[in-house]
Amino acid sequence: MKPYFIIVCTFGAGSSLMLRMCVEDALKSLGYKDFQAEVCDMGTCKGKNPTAYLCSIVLEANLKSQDPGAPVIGIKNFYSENEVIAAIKPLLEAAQD
Amino acid sequence: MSEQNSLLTLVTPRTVLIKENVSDWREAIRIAGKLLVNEGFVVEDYVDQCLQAAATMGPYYVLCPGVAISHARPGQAVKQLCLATVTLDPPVPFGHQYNDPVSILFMFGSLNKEAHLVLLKNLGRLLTNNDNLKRLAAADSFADLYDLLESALK
Repeated sequence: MKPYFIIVCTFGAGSSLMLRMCVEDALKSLGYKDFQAEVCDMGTCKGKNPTAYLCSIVLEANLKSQDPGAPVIGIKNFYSENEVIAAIKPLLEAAQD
Repeated sequence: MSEQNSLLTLVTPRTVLIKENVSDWREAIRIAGKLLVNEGFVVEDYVDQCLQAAATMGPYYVLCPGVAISHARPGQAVKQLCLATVTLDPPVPFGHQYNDPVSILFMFGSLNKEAHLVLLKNLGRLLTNNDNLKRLAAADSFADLYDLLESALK
């Protein structure tokens, strides 16, 4: 299954783009060449069925309430490839099984 | 404008404040916004939108320890791609559980969803290095700050 991540922020135009770059780097470091990482506004990102949503830790609770049951990862440091790798690795491994 | 220099092109003496002493995060956002309004890069409503986003959604734009990157939706309130840089002394709490207090506030305005991609990439390259942050926050003058940015982005 192709990894599919949706990065969410308030306007889908600033911070989410930075986190998306970090996610792309993380996926490449983990050896993935084929993946999808897109950005989205809060509020327009329901029902897309990604491997996970990523957002600022500040928005995590809000995002979870918007799409209950969907995996949501709150990130503290948008520039930490290590933090993103640690967060997405278990989800990717679970998806492989 | 060469791709590599997007950040450097936007950082000028008129869009930078060094070691500002502000009373709270709102004041920090207001003074950053004023730089951009004064230059005609954004209209005042843009700064209100930045404040509003922060008030409603919280400090989601404090992206890593010590750094806030404020912005609002690309649109008519922005006249051209722009960036304000304000270093804060003393550092100011923005309410982020992990990344407070903030010592560098950036505010950017973009015309559409793509125009600021190179700028963001430059910021990304800059901010993955913790030492860069410390040195930038400690810069005593525009010239210092600019030199640091230039060498960090080589």
